[in-house]
Amino acid sequence: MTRLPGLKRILRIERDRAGVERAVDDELQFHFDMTMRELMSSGLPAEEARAEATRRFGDVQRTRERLATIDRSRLGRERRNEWWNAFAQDLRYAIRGLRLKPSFAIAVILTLGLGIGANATMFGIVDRLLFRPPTFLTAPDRAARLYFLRTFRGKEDVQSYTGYRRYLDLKEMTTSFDAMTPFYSNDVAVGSGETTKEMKVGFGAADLWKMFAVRPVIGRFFTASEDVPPNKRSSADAKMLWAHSSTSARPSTRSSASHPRASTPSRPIRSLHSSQRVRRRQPWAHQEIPGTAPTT
Amino acid sequence: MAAVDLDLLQGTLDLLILKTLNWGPRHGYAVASWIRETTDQRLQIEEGALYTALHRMEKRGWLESEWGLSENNRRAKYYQLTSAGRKQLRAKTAVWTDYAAAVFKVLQTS
Repeated sequence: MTRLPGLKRILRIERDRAGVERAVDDELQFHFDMTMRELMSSGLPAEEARAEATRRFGDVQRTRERLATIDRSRLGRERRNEWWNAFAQDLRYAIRGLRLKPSFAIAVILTLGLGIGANATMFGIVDRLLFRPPTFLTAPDRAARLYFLRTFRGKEDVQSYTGYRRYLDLKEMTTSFDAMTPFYSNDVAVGSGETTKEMKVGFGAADLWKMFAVRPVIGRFFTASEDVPPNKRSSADAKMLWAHSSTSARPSTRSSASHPRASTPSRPIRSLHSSQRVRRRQPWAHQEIPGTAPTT
Repeated sequence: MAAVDLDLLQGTLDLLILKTLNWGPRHGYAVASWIRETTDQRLQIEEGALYTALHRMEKRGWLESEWGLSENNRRAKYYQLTSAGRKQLRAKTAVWTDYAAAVFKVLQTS
C-alpha cells in the first residue's frame, strides 16, 4: 500500500469549514468508486452495482452531515491544542533564551517592569485627575474654574490667569456662586534671617475651605474676616497665604516674641505683593517674606 | 447463516475497526472489505455507520488519518491506530472475550 508520510501537511485542505465537507465528500466518493469497481468486476451491470453500493452504505446524506460535524469539532479542538502547544513552545524557547543570557534577561525584565510601572502610575494619575472627582470636594458637579476670554485685534485668547482685582469684582458683584476663591501656589521664601526657608505656599481666600469637606489637623482655617487686610488701602495687592506646614507648627523662634499668636500651630499669615511697602510694625504682617518686599 | 444486525452489539463495530487497523493503516473501503471478507460476509455492516465510527474514533484520538495514494493511484484517506487506540483495542478485546465467554457458558448449559 502506498503511503506518503507527511502528505497531510502538504494537503492541508480540510482546515476550514468548506475544506471539511470537501474532505468528507472525497472520502465517500472514493469509497463508492471502489465499491462500484469491485461489484462491476464481479460481473454486475453499472446500474445494479450502483444500487448495491448505495444499499450497503445506508443514508449517505445523513452520514455525510454527521461526519462533517464530527470533523469540525475535532479540528476545532486540534486547532486550540496547536495554539497552546505553539504558545508553550514559544514560552519555553523564550525562557531558555533568557537563561542563556542573564544580563539580557535582567535588562528585559527591568524594561518591562519600568514600562508597566510607568503605565500603572500614569493610569493612576490620569484616573485620579481626569476620571474621578477630586477627593473631599463637596460639590464636584458644581465646581468650576473660571477662565477669561479676551478678544484682542480680532483674535480670541483664553486666559487662565487673571488679576486679583478682577476676582474681587466677581466676588462683590456676582451672586451666582456659593463660594469663590482665587488660587495660586509658588515656592516662596518664608521667615527672616537665618531661619528663612523656601516653602511651597498656596494662596487662596477663606471660601476655599467651604468647597472642601475637610478639617485642619491642627489649628484652624482662616476666616473671611481675615481675608481682608485691616489696612484697606492695601487690600488690592494683598494675598492670603496659608501656612500649614511643619515649619510653622514648630515652636517658632522667629516671631513668638514679637507676636502673641505665634503659639497657634497653624495660622494665617499674610504675604505682601512686591509692590506693597512693608513696615515691620504693620499689625497684620505676621511674617515678612524676605525678598518679596523691598526694604525701606 | 443469517446476517447479524450489528446495531444490537454496542461497541462491537469500534472493536472490529480497531482490530482491522491493528494490521496497519487502511482507508475506509479497505476496512469495510476486510471485515466483510474476514467474517465471510456474515456481518452486514452499514458502511455509513462504519465511517461514522472511524471519524468518531479519530476525534477521540484512537485513530489518526492521513491522505495518501491508494492501490489504483487515487487519493484516499488512510486511518491508523494511535497508542491510545492500541490501548483501547487491548481493553475492548479483553472485555469482549470475557463477555462472549460468559454468554457462551450460559448457552452451553443444557
